[in-house]
Amino acid sequence: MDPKKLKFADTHEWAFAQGDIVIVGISDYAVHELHEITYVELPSVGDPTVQAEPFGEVESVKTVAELNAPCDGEIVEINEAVGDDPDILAADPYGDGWLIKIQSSDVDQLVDLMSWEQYKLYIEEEAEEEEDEEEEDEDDLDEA
Amino acid sequence: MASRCIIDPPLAPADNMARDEALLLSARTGTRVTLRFYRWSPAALSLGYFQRWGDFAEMAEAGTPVVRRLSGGGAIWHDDEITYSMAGPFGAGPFPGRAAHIFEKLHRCICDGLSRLGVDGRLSDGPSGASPLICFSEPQKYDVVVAGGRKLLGSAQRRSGGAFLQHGSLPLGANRFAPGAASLDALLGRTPAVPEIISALVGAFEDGLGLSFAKGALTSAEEGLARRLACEKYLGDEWTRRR
Repeated sequence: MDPKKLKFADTHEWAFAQGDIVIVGISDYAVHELHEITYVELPSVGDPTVQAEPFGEVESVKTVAELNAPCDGEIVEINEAVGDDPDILAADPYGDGWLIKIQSSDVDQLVDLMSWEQYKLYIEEEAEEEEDEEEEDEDDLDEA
Repeated sequence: MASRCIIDPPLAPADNMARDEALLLSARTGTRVTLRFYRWSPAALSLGYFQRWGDFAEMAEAGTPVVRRLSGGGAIWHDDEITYSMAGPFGAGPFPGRAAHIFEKLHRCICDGLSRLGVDGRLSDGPSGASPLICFSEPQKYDVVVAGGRKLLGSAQRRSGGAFLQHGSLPLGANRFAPGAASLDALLGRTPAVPEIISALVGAFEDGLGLSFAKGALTSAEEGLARRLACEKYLGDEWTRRR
């Protein structure tokens, strides 16, 4: 899938609407940041989703993080292959690594998400902040 | 940023995990940072969020108390140790956004605290993939290790709604599930008093994070939430045997 056609949440999930079906995954940036995803837990078909509320979880480096839904609706399909083998997510986050499909009850909620261009700026800012933080820590160590 | 330090008495496994979760949920809605120290009574095995119950069912059926954590990583035997937890907003104040950077920052503080006690600890550059079944059996990246590369402290994290909870165990004595792991009493040749250890760690966290931790307690709302979580979640099979 072309990331330029996707919408992105500030929590790094992407969404793509085909009619009222919304395909959801996590961004390449998130995959990179999470680093070595060891577990992915997805909901069951038929479970409800609520915008910005968790629908699943991932574990990487002893950290469990939540995956948030981009819209209200109901799960109609999950990517069981990713649950069985999280490496698929790392290898192709915008394609084979998709996570869930939601029958959206309000697809207009995706308007709240960022475009690819907006998301690129967002992650650049986030990366800069982290780099500044790292430099500060290194300076502190040097001083110590 | 407002920050408090809670020193709890030894508590039951479900209560300890419930109190940590209450602090995480509280951190989601505010800007307060909470540092908590606690011990376990009875001693118990805590399982990582994604670990399989089937790997530990036999031990549980033989009478070992088992609780499931909200955080990742491998199983930990909590007996003769001090556990710390830190809950606060990530990407704000002294806390970086990335989980790995929080591990690194807090573990650097812990190394400083250990040096105040006379222990030379450093961060491991070990692997960062899937955790071993028993957490202390081998060091992973950012774990605190001592001479010979033996693991002294590891932590695990949970992130939710812009907040993080990180907790980890500092063994005071030998760990029967990880005989190769280091412990404070063996490193120092004495058993330091718990208040001495906590004081050294609080001082190091304050210096490393630029925060001042006032002695505090859970609010009444957090206490109520923790009691409910202990009864309805952490004591129940639905949670403990969820995988």
